[in-house]
Formats: sequence, structure tokens, C-alpha cells
Amino acid sequence: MSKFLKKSIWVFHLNTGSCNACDIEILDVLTPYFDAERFGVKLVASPRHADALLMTGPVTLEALPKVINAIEATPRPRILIAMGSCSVGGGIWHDTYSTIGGVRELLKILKEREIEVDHVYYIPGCPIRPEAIIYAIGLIKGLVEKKISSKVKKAVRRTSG
Amino acid sequence: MIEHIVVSIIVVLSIIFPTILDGVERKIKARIHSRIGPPILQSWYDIIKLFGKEQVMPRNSLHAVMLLILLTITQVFLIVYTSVSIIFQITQFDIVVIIALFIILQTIFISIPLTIPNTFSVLGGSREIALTLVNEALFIVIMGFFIYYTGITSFKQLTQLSPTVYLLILLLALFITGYVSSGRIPFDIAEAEPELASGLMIEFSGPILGVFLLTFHIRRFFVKFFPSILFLGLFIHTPISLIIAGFITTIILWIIYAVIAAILGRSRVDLAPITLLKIYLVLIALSIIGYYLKV
Repeated sequence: MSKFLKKSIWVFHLNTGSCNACDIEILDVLTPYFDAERFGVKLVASPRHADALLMTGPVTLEALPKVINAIEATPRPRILIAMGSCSVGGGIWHDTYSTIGGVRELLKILKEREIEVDHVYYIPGCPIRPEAIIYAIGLIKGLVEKKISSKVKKAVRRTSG
Repeated sequence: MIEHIVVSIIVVLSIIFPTILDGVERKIKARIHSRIGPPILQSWYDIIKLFGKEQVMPRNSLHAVMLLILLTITQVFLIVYTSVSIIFQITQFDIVVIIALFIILQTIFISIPLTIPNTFSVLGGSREIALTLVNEALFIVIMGFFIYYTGITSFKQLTQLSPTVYLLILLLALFITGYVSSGRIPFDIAEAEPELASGLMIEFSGPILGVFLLTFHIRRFFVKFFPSILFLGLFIHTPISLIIAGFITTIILWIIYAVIAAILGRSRVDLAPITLLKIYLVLIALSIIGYYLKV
């Protein structure tokens, strides 16, 4: 990721069928108390201006074509941030008939359509805490290290051979 | 020799500095909101980042890109012409040339969103036209009265002027046109509502958006710089002092406008142009009365 992209992250809020709890937390991060703008984060109204897409919700079948359009409209390098349990893994909707079950399935669909996503970040939580969003900003900017448990590290090492 | 150096410095600063001033404005607004706010160079970071992004061209909008390039070139030319003509008289009608160029710029500016096949863009453009019909039209009227009262058509002739009440009232109206032209609250009606936010430039991305923002910052600088020079011309009669004082006044004015914009609330879309028209008409009427009473 380029130095200036890390310094200026313009985000577009993409609600893919969430209950609005995560959306309220996103607005909370932008209020003077948490002040996300101090990190160069700016909420934009068009995916054409965006660097990162803040995706909330489990991606309903109704929203899917619009979500793909919005991701396609975002110029590269594009970052996808899955926010909240629903977006990360489908949450309580992971196997329902009307959703695709989160970002993993969405990425498969995008791959089939040859739409590239350069970076994917996950913020789990139901709803996500504003502090967690700020931590994600810190991760993107390289201010904090990625935290993974020793169990996951071992699993990654095992799979990578 | 000194004059050449001063003009060169002012020209370079007029192109680089407005984006830094935009960062200062964001910082001031943040402090008023009790926030830390972004770094002062944030607006430059944004533009540099945009130049490194992919260019997604909207369909059937080649005209918009051509007009944008024309807008940028004319805007830079206008700021260079203004700075040079303050010290070296280019024609006897420098002020008239600047007014004409500014109106051409405004026309290009409102044409851009109308050439993009996007509903929000066209709607934003239509709102900008409504505001232009009041603000820029009255800008011409105010400048017309200024030239009629003083008989001055170039910056060199400003030395003949002395401050009078009717001229100061007219210049106050000119400073208001500068505030409105810079697209600050409540006159950002083209992008006032969340669904129309960035209405004018909704389809631009990457380097084209970067160029648009850069041009917009230079335009914001010019609309403060020009009235500042006319105002200071009443008191300062040496060209070098005038241009330096004009530059400093523009920076101070930018900060004052930033504070005003942070304090003011949004206005209704149909209400803002009418209120503005009433204010201009009252100020122009007062200046006419002042002119005939010789105060």
C-alpha cells in the first residue's frame, strides 16, 4: 500500500443489509469524541472517490448486484473492510436463504467476475466497537501490529508447509 | 529585478498555498468542534494520493474531462495574470480582463456537472446555476459600479483612489461574493445534502478528481485575493507592498471565512440565493445613495 494512501483513507459506507447497529458505530467514529479525521479518514458520498469500502451486513441477495457495482466503481487500489459479525462470517444469517453469508462468499463471487480487491480487513463484533474501527485504521496505516494467537500462527505455518 | 522575484514567488505560492490553507481550514474547524483534526498538509496528502489512484472514466463524459482541463488551465492563467498585472500593467483594462476571465471560468465550472450523465451531478449543477445567477451576476454588477464610480480599469490606477463610504460598502458586497464563490456553508447547496454530497464531482475519480480539487482550492484563493487587492489599493500605493499585503490579507481572510463557515448552519436550497440577492440589493442601494451624497 502506498505511503500517501495510508495517510489519506477515504471511506465509502456500504450497507449490504445490516441491522444498522454497525452503521451507528461508524457514525460514532466520525464524531468529535473519536475523531477519525485525525488519521486522514474521510467519509465520501461516492464509491468513485473511495479508497476503502466499509461493508456492514451479511450481503443479502437483493443487495448483491448493487454491492458488486459499488466495488467495481471504486478505483484501485481498493480496500474492503468487513465490519461486524454479519459481514465477517454471516453472523446469525450465515446459512439463511436470503443472504450469501458474509465477505468470504462475496470475495468468491468477485473472483469469478474478475473484480480484484487489493486488501481485505476484518473487524468482528456485534456490533463493532468504535475502538475496534480505530484499531483497524491503525492496522491499515501500519501503526499497530496484527494480533494473532499462537494457535492461529501454528495453523498458518502448518498450512503454508 | 525585485519586482520579478516577488511576482514569481507570489505566483508559485498562489498555486501551492491554497491547498495548505484548506488543510489549515480543516484544522480550525476541528478545533472549533473540540477535535484534534487532520494534519495541516492533509489536503496535499489527499491530492497526491488521488494522483496515484486508478482513473475510472464515467461513460460518455469525455466533454467533462476536456472542460476540466480547460478550467484548470484558465484558473492558473487567471491567478498568474492577476499577480503580474498588479505590478506590471499588461493592458489598460486589466481589471475588466480579470472579470471576463472569471466569468468564463464560472461558466466552465457549471458546465462540467451538466455534461456528466449522472442524476446527482446534473442536479448539483442545476443548483450551482441558481446560485451563479445571483452571485456571479451580482459580482459583475458590483464591479460595474466600482468601475463607474472610480473610472479605474487597471491596478496601476488604484493609486488615485482614496477610501470613501460608498466604495467600502461596495467592497463589502464583493467580499460576500468571494465567500459565496468559495462554496462554503450555507452556499454549498450543490453538495448540501448527504445524498448529493460532492454532487458536482460525484463521477470523478483518481487524478481527474485530484486536478478538480486543486483547481477548486486555487479558485477559493482567487476569490479572496482579488477583492483584497481592490480593498488594500485604497490605502497602499506601491505595487510590491500591495501584492504582499494582498497575499497576507487573503490568508487572514481564509481563516476568518473558515471560522464563519464552522459557525454558520445550513440554509434551505431555495432560500440561500434569495437571501443573498436581498443582501446584495441593499448594499448596492446604500452605495448608490452614498455616491450621490458624496460620503
